[in-house]
Amino acid sequence: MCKMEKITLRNITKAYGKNPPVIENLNLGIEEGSFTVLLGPSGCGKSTVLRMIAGLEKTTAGDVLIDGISVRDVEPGDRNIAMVFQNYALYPTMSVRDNIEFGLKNMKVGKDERNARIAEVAEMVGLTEYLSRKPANLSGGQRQRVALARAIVKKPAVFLMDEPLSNLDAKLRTQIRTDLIELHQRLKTTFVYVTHDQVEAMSMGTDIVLMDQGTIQQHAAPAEIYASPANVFTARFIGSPPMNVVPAEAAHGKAPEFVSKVGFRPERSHIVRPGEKLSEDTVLIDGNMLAREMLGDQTQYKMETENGTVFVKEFKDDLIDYGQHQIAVKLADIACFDMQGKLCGFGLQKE
Amino acid sequence: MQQTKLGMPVVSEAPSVVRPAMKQKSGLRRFFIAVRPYLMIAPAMVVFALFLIYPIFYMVYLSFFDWNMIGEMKFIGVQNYTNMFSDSDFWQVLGNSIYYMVMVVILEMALSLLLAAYLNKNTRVNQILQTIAFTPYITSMVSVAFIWMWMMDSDYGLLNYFLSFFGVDPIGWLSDPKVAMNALVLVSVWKGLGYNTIIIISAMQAVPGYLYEAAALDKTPKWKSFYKITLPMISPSIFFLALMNIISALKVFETVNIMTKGGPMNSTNTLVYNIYQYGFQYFKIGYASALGVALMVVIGIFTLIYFKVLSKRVYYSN
Repeated sequence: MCKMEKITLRNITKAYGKNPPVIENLNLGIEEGSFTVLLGPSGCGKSTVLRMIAGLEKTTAGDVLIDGISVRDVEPGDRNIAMVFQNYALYPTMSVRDNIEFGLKNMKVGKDERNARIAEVAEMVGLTEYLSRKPANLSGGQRQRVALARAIVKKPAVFLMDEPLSNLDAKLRTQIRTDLIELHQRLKTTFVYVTHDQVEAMSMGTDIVLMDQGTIQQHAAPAEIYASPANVFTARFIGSPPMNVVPAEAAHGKAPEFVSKVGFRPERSHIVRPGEKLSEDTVLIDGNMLAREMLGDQTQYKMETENGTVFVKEFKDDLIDYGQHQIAVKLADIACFDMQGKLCGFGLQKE
Repeated sequence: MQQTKLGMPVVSEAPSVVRPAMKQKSGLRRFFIAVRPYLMIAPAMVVFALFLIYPIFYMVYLSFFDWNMIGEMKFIGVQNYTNMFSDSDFWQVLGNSIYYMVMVVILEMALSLLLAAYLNKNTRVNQILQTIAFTPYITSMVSVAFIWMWMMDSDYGLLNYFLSFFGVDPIGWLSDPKVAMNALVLVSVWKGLGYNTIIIISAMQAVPGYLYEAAALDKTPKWKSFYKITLPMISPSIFFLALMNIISALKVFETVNIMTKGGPMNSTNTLVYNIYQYGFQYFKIGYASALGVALMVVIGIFTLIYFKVLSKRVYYSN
């Protein structure tokens, strides 16, 4: 590994009481300066991992290292980290200013320095005129920014964020998403971000750690995780809509024997127009259109085939009518998965 | 994602049907509708008026008379009040009441806060301890007073017996004018402690845990997160409890009546016990009523000051 690891999780196991562990023997390295997104369905253990990095949860076994040093006996406040909570966790009895200042006071930052930092951060997130307000008198987006300001003002080495956008409406979410990317570019510190939304992960992350049932399914850059998903779970999680994965029988014997499932991205398929000339390396699937969604620049079709429903996404201007159609997919775009669900390559053998 | 089920309802045109004109209601019916809410609250209001409003006004009315409950009522104007204000005993009783109230409220709140902070963690042992702490509250004040009286006996009492082990001279818990009032404070605090603690614990447990997590990440020392987060968050409960304690302490009666009868040397005589003496021992109903009015005013003043001074510092979540 060429880059330095900021945070290392070494053989982490976490169990609550006598229940079977939610995370077992997990290893993860988070690179310095990366925007690492822990992604996965709810209950996959991603928040637990974040909370163990923060020190809010103790590890049952294994070690968390920051800058190569074990933080087992280091209090959360001494780990040089800041956290943004899902519900912001603002102190409701304090004004915005006191909320931001609280941590600095505890860190014994001098008064002039505190004022300068608060002014700077308030300007940065656009809260200057709200400093004297109580959190109850702020909108959801403003509270979110207070939570961010409270983290930024501490100038931590690591930002931990636990689904910070999930309580915002869709429009604000996309806006703050861009703001967070900007912030990361500006601060160049390590961000660890937990979400169940693959769009957030793809758009913001420099690294994605996709988790399921307490284990890491794939740890890669967004482009790689999209282009070559490690397994069926990853393929079905990334993309909107995600990859269509159907039994290998759908390939009509074109798939090698060890392949149990095949898949293709909706945006790498299209519906055959009447009179359209198809190249030889194309697979055709018969399907009945169940639903059609026109989204302006793109159209999504939900098609029922004999091997289950699949999605087709087109960036074309002409709309296809409901009815029986053929779906065309290039051989090279078909992903093959083996018995264990692992990706074994793209492209089926030609006839 | 974006899966839609078939059979989406087709949006129909907004209903533009004109409603048929409403039937004209009869006069009687309209009257009934207007009166109905008052009828509904009438039973409660009657009880309220009969047992709360009327006695208050009757007490004020009686305070202008000289009456022994049997003979003729004689109107004497503000004579009862002038007598009261010029009586040094009244000022002593008033002072006693206020001293008692201040001591009880301060000790009660401070101790129950400490106890609540200690018992806050929801372990099995703490649940048992909470129950034990609550027991005095559900015990009758009369039994409590008798048991403490026995324990505080200066010759045979348990307290002095234990103190003798440490070479402490016997204390006249209820017989020394300097000590007696504090002994009553002790009993009252002991009895109310469990109740106050339980209320504070439940308020503490309603404080969301993530605030303490945020505080931990902000490097907050334990005492500071108690002072800056816990206390403000539970302030509504504390505000309420302290007010209830103020009012009930100003109305103390049973312990005085059973344990000291206002003595020694009037040192434990309080407003309510004084009212009882004048009303039902000396049968001076008018003067007792004037004392009752004084008590009401004192409670009113303290409540008002309390609201003015403290209510702004209480945090109410919306």
